Amino acid sequence: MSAVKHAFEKIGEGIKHAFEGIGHAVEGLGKTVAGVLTANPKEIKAGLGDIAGGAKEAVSGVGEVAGGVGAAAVGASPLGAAINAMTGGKASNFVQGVGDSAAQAVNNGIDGVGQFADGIAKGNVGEAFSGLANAGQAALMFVPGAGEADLAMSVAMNAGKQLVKQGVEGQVQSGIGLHV
Amino acid sequence: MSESPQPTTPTREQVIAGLQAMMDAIVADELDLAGHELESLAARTGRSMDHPDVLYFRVLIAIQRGQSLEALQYLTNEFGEDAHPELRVLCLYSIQDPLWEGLAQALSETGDASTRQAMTLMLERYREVMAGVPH
Repeated sequence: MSAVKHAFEKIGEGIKHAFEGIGHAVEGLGKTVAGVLTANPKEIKAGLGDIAGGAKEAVSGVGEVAGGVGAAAVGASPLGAAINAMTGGKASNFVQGVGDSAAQAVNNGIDGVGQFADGIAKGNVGEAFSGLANAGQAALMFVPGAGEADLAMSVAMNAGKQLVKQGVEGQVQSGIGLHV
Repeated sequence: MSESPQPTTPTREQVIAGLQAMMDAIVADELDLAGHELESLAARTGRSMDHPDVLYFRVLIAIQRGQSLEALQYLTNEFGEDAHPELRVLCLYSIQDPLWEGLAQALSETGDASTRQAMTLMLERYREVMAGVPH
């Protein structure tokens, strides 16, 4: 039993390993996304198109890292490597077809400026994803169906929380009268 | 197994938060909690506990519990020997049944994209380990 148990434990180790690796990538992306938002705060007022584009570009870069699950799995057990590769699709399925959230509204441009700014400033979405590089953050990386806005907002709320918040506060308080 | 209750239109955040909680629990080896989170996730999204999306994580939790053989038996009894071959590979590997390698090899060539990638990585990593590459 002990030998078998050892194999089981390796699954967890493999998952941790992949999550840690992707967590670093998320950290880098967070800075990028925060930069996109803070360096171009007028885009928040002007519309969501450019922000979404910027976020998408940033996400695409990390997507390659996340897509390189094999790289993240290097050093994992064989079982861990398999699980690392399979979990994304399975997790993604849960998200497919689920809509009508604040982040989805951003994607759709529904009540865009106000709702987007309000969500970031109040941390409504970010509260669900506290803790950079935790398993859930990594899980989100595995979920293509989550959409760019989900990912960008999640990452921004974690890695660049203060930066984004400050940027939004500065622009939004005077712009649309939002207080945080 | 019985069908899950009617879902209550979860938001993406709720679904992702549920996934987060479940995976955190698996990594933390809090498997009762992981199972509970999975059940909640299944119910929220209107999936039965035997839905393929749910079954994958059930098997994962079972393996982590040290119940790979039971999971394999469940797959066989409930779905037959040809169903969910990728899950069977995980179980077979875990119980150190050499049949896993042939099945993994076949799936690496014929499975869907995700399965092919997973099986290829698994085989590559296994061969590295066998060749003495540390992990």
